[in-house]
Amino acid sequence: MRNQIIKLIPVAAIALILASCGRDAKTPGRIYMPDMTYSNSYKAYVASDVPTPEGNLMSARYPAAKTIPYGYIPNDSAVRSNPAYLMSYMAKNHYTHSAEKWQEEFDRAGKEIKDPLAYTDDNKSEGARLYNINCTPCHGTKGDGAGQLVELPGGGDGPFTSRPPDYKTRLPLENDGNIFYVVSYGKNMMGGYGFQLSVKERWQVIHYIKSIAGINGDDNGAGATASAATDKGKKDDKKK
Amino acid sequence: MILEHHAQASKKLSLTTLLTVFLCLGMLVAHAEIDKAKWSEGKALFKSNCAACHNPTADGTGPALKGATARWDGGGSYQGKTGTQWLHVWINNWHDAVNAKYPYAVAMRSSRPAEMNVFAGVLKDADIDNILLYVENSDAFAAPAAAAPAAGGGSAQSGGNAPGASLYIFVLFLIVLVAILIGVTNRLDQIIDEKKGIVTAPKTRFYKKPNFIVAVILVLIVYCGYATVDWGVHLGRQQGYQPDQPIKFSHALHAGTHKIDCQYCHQTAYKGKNSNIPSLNTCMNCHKNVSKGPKYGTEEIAKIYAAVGWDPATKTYANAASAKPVEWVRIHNLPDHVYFNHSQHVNAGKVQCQTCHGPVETMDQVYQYSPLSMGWCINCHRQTEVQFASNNYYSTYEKIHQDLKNKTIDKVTVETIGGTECQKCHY
Repeated sequence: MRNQIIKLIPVAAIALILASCGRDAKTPGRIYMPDMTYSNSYKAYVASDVPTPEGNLMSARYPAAKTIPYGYIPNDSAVRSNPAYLMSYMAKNHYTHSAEKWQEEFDRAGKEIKDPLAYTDDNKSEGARLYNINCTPCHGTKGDGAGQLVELPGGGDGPFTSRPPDYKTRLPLENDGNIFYVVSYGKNMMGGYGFQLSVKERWQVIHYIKSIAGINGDDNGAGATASAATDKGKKDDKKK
Repeated sequence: MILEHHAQASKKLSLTTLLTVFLCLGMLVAHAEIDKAKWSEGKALFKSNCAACHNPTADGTGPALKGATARWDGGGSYQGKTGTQWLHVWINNWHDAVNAKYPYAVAMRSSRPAEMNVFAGVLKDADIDNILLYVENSDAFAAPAAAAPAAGGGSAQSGGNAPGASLYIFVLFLIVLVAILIGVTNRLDQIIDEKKGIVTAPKTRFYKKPNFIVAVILVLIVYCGYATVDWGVHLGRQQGYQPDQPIKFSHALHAGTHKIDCQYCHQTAYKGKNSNIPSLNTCMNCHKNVSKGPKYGTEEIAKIYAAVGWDPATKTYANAASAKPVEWVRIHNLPDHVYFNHSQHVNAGKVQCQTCHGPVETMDQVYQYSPLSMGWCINCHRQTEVQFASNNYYSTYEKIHQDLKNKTIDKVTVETIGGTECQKCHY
């Protein structure tokens, strides 16, 4: 018996060697030439060797001080009405987003920001594409607030517990600038989309949502379509 | 054993069905006195006027409303009005209730930073009653539970298609077991023979026979050769790589069950060379509101809150000072000497995400679906037809357009437009 056990040792050894050949899904595995695969220059989403001032190893850093963003136009009152200025990084540079100043900045944006983008079919269809990616989860394909996160296909309540208002009743109350500010910085339970969407893309989305709300495209403000009753609602809303 | 399992499952199933039926019946009986017409009207009004900020059972911009009538009643009578009447005043125009210094209204106002809208002229008294009826009994005529999404899609836990090491070990264990059993039967035969007095010539053991030894050596050579080549080919490739991420984010839940578009979070896939790992503010677009998941409850979402400095109690970024980035583990990695551009494939090529990344919408934990080897790239470039006709990007390829018109070529693959030339990707 003992003899047999001793004879089994080589079999067990081979078994062990074969078993160790399996690849482990938790590790990336070996490579031929590490210096070619993992280069010295930083690639996106790879940790840096030098800690940031905040003490983490993020390779995405703030640009050097006084860096000018691509397409930047200085904040000068003479160029404020210039469409190129309106399309630039304006919203990021000249408006702030903090909970305390939200209302103030929202009102200011409503007065100052005008829609710089021409109403074309291309802009609207690109807006529709972006809307269906970024907005439908909550606002729904029809803009009535029945997105798949708010209302499940069977009619039950989705995980998102706040239901966005219907564009048809809400959008006529706002100036373009107000809508732009909300798309950029969010409002109440809605997050801001200034990070996801460029200024142009935000205006394209606004063109599209105005079209599904049944607002005439070139209407640049709340006044024209809003009746006396909705005007009252608007004032009440401003108090908010 | 399998049968038993089935029986158990069906028993469990029937038990749950029974329970559900009883619960439904119970709910129907309990709410028999609720007027469904009024309730439905209240629900519709609630959805169009209140639901942006309020939910019957969850805190949002405004507080959860279930039990509000009782809470306001608890506020007591004041200036000849009951608590419920003050609630009506508040809903119409909360300024009136605060200006009248009704204590509960004053406390309510100071408890929340956001100011409520004014509904005077929008909602009549009867409307408010209907809304309150709905709010207090929001689940009275609930949609059938079947509409609830199953938690997670199909599970795709096992990484690539390589069987695990445990399988090899098990098979070897079986082989060893068989060998031992053969040995035991042989020995028993021998004992029986000895008992019977039959003397047999000592047998040559099977593993000492030359035929067997040659066969074993051949098998070993073939296996080792295969293993060496296979290992060499896979060296530097990460197909099936499925690391544990710091947060147990499930694509099956987000992209599968809730059908959120890939580009909602990975929007730079159409904008730039790299597709992005979403920053935490993208998570917070929804998770400002949704703080509990179907599988891990608040545990995993709390990690987002900790990383971004969000305080779920006050619903502000109060802990921003202690915020620190989430260290996601990068799965897809191309060597540095290969140029790959996401926006080119997404915009000009109109390639679906799943073509390369596999069925991500069914993966609870993402793994690398494609080998990302050069052969794989080239193969796709040879086979994939370019959407050439109505694609502005290729309008300058005049000769190919001409050839297509003259029918000298019948289709345009990526190879036709130079997609297999070295310098396209290596420069």
